[in-house]
Amino acid sequence: MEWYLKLQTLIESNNISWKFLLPEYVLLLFFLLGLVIDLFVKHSKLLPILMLAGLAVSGYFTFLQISIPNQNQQLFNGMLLLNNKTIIFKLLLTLVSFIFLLYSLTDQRVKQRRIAEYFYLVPLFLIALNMLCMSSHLISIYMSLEMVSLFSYGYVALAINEKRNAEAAMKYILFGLLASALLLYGISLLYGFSGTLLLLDPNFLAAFAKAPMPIIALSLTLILAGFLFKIAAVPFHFYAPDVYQGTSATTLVLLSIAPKIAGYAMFANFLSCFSFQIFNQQLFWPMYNWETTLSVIASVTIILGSFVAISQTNIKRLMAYAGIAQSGFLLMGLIGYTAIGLVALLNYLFAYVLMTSAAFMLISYFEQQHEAFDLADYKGLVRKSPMAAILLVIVFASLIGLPPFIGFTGKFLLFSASYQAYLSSANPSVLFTIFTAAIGSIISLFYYFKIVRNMFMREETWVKVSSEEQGVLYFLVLPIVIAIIYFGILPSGIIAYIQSLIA
Amino acid sequence: MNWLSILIFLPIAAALVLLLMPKGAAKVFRPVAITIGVVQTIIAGILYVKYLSNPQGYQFVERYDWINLNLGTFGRLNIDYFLAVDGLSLGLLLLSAFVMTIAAIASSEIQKDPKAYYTLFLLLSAAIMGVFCALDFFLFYVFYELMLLPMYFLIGMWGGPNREYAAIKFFLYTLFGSIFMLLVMIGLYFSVIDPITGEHTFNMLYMMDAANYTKDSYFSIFSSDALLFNYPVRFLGFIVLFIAFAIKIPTIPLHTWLPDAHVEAPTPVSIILAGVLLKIGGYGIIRICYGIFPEAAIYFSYWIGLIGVLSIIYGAFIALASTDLKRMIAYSSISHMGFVILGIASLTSEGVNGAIFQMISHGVLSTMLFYLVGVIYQRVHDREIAAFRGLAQPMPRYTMFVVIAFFASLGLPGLSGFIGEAFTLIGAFKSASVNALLPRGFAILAAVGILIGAAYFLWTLQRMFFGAARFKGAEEWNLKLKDLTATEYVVLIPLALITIFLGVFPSLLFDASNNTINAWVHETWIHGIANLKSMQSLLKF
Repeated sequence: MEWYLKLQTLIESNNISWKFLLPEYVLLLFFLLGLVIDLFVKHSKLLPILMLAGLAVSGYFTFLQISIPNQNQQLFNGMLLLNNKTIIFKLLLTLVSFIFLLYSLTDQRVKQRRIAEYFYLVPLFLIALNMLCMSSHLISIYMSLEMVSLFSYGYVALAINEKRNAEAAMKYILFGLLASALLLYGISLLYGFSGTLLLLDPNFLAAFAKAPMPIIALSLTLILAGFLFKIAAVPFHFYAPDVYQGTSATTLVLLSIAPKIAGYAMFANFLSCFSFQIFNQQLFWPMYNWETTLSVIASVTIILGSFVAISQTNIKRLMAYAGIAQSGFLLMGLIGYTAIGLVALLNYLFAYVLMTSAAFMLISYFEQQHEAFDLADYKGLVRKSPMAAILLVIVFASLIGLPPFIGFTGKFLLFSASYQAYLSSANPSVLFTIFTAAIGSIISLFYYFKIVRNMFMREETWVKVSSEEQGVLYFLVLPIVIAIIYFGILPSGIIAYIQSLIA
Repeated sequence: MNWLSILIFLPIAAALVLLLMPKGAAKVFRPVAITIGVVQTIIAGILYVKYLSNPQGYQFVERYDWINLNLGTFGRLNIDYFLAVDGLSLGLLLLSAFVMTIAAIASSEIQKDPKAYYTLFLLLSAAIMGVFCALDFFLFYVFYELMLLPMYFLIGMWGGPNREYAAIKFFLYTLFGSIFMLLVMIGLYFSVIDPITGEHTFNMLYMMDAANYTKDSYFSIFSSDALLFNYPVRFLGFIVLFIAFAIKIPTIPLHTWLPDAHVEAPTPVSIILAGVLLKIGGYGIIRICYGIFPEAAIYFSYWIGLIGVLSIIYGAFIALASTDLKRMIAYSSISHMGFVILGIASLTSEGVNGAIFQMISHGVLSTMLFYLVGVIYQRVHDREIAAFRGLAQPMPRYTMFVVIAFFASLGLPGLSGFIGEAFTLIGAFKSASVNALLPRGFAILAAVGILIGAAYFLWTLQRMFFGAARFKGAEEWNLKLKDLTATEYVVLIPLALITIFLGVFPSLLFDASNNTINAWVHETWIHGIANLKSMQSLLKF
């Protein structure tokens, strides 16, 4: 009878768990609605609006979860973990998806091709991303990671310029398969040693102490691979430039941000099973020091992304390498795995959502209005679209980290967090990362302002006549840019809010 | 009244108003900018007079919480909106407001995109005022960086043929300095404790007191392991900050952005650059480098003095060899700012007072010189020295102002340049006997720099202005080279008067700065020596 009791508690705990997935049910419901509508009404104008409503409702329910008193809610026997940290990640993801859907409505190319999937896959994609944020079991991590990848491939292929996107999608898939195979190998090794897949299981970590160190180091490195692929960090960054170039800038509003956020969420969850003491203890981890590993990866990512970005001539390739460098910056928040580091990471992710989505919306705008794909096409664009050009300058200044924009406070917190990590561990590699991040910021000025220079200081080389549609700039990009300035001058509110949630 | 906040936010408000105006209203943009400049000058003037009645310490203090966050284990993040001025910054504040007014008047040559130009101009003005008023390091940094973006566009969009290169070079150089300044700033923040609240602070005044550093923090004087790469961390911090400001001043070997920026920038932007922006470097060294790291300042004073002397001589020699009038004046700026460094390095009351006087005097003189170059460039679009001969024939009144500006710059007694150079030299010379920081040879070498300065100014005067009139553009130029217009008189007469006035009554400036500087020199010396002793015994270097 014992097994029966066990089963019963299992079922009961599952029954309790279901109600915490309300935001995901809403998304699923709206996805199904979209599917059905598309069956009966072709090219429904209602569909995108409905999806937007779905995201809003789901976001609202996610927001309500903040007030759930019981922190670290373990769902489905530890498969998923719901706490305020993951809720912030989920909210950020909902925000990106919302901005993306809203902007897609204005994309002429999406309108012409009339692909309903483009809209109703967003809720499904968001489910996968949310799951990845909440995963606290190696199997659920793997499964949601694959799900996110699957939709990412799909979006690359769904994008608009047909010539390149098949190739881009193929590259994405091949690299993705490699990364997930490595991840799976790492997971299986860990399982072999610990006998559990549950990150929060105390046996999980205890088993590491007994296992041979080189193998543990190897398996942790393999797991790292899956994560680095998601955030496009060195050495798993190769796909990014090709994928970015091959897809439309509109898709990149989603694809350059959402998988990254989910990747950071997943990795933060994974790291949370190592308590802070163990995290940096050289004695217990003679072979594997997270701080050193992450510092080195962050440094190399920043340096490589920055330097390669300089020589790019295609704007999306440039943004891809710039995004790689930004990933390195974000990694600085995880280096010490301190509370302030997490605040800095979440704050910068929020900044990143605003800045990068605005940047890609403007790039997409230039693509549509002026067929500008290469840096050379940006010459003299301020004469044709002064508003968009000025907005892009502000976004770039923020991405570089100049005050008084949100990027500055974001980078300032990241620097402070890494500095504090250095103070507590005196690990020289952390100092090296701070140094490279400073250098990376200077270089980023150089490549971002190549575009600015072309827009403002060069004469246009050719004239492309197009009807100027400025509506999207005013109703979507301008508010985001105002937010970039507002949170740059008065950052207290948002940082204090994040801090109060994860404290 | 929050006078300092008004000084800072008045131009921002004006910039917002300008942005909302229609393009057709382009004619009012320049008057608006001039009016704002005049109002700022009047406010700064009132503050100056008020300060003179009791020239002690920091006045017109404004202090509010700006960012105040509880970050759990990290402690509180405390950033104040903290403004105040003393004898050091007030003179520079007045100078900035005045130079910005002159630059606004000189902007008549700007035809392209007036709206963008004046908006950026006003934003730049706000940032400059903020830099001189801020006493919270974070706030200072924000204003310091805020100058870069407007300046980049002002050079890059309205400049000469090679403007893109000059603009990005200026931007990269300054950002290189300031990003590392940010790292030192964060390090200082984690070391310094506000004695009242017990929290970390960005307050510069607290950073200047050794007692406010937590015992074993990185920048503490009393820490026995504050070494990085086997070098005292405080020395590294000083070097990083010094490099950041030395780029701004600029001194050799970090000066190479300046000639490019000056040659490419339009006249009003050159005026701002030479008249105001270079002073921020000098101000930063006095206030921040020396204020926070007095022991490093004393430790490195020989090298700092040497950099100053080399800048004086190198700048003068390159100016001598320059064939472009604007480039010559740009290099003469490097030479003149070298005196500022030398005066500061001497750490004597005369030297530092002289350095501040030299900064203000150079602010006025370089404004005048660049404006004078602009006058002929606007007429014939050429400024090669060899292209002109006997300019005094068609433009006698113009030549008169050039003579005043040149003689003032080369240090003729009775004009402002003399006082600044003389006092810094006295300070440098005295240093050997007072505090033994600089050898006497530095003063002598700097005097040689004055001699070379006299050579290139007089030689240029002879080549360009005297003799029979003969121009590269022949008859066509003869017609174009008309004497000064009314607007040009309006700009040049006050500048010339100030130069003469300051030369005859230098006490006008010294009265305001003297108390502050005497106290500053005294404290820097006392604290520096004490800190140095403590560090030497603890770190054994």
